[in-house]
Amino acid sequence: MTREQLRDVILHLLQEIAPETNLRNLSPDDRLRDVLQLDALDFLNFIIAVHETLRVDVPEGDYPQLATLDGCVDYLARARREPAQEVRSVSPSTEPGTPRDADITGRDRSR
Amino acid sequence: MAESPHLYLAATIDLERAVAWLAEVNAQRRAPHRLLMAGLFLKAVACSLREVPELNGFWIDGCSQTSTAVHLGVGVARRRGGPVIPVLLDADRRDLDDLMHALLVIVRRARAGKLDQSDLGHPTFTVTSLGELGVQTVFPAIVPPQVGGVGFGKVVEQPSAVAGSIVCSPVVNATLAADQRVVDGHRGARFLAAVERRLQEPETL
Repeated sequence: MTREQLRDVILHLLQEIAPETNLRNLSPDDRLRDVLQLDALDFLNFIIAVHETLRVDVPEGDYPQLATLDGCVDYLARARREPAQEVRSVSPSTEPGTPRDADITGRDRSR
Repeated sequence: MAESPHLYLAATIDLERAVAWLAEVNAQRRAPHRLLMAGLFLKAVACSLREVPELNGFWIDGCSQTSTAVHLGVGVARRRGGPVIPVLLDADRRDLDDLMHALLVIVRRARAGKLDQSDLGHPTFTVTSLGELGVQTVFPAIVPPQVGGVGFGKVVEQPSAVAGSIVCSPVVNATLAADQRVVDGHRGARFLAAVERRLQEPETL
């Protein structure tokens, strides 16, 4: 997939999340969440669509790299060149409701 | 639409544990299974309504009618066309993952203008969360014939004094609106305290 094709796929996914916005006016360095008024739910729906369509799972810590259209193209082009490391999987032990280690729920007031 | 006497109560809820827990859980999950704070709010509210059931129901023909089922109306802001309030049925009986998934789907449909009649249903209580728009405190309206609603504002870092030193932690303002004919301040305060308690133990939601 060329960068141009990747860009078109991303724009298509964004259009589905924010159907009433005119993406032709979107600049490559516009901040997507501000310009398209995406809230956390919209943004997660976008990340899910990226996962389903482009087979790239973006960790939460990498969300800032997808802040703009250019950022999305760069990140996703790179991620598709370098096949994802299969380290992030949903294992039964991560389901809510199971007991967790104390260090996860413990409150760190030292900072 | 008859005006009901509104009672407003507000609480600032510490979210340090909830924020840390979400980050920890989401780091181990692929995108479709990740959780958001909005999901924790809904689940905490649904469970807390079981503790203060008077809030969960209707005022019809001068009588209070408590609902045994918890159907949460979710205020969804749209870019165009004004807000809509789709409903998440039996929110108290669904697990957090299920509720989160349902919320993502319903918000996507609402913003695409694709809600159908079954999505709108008859909520027994309404949750409004406008924090994403930068609003720090939301004063929710009661949607008749319901008798209550809760609003969550923006999650912000706030300094507080703990054991003689100043620390910062993420907090949210939760505001309850209740019909005073049905719920007094004491019951309302119990509800907010229950929401707060549950958000301190996110792993139990």
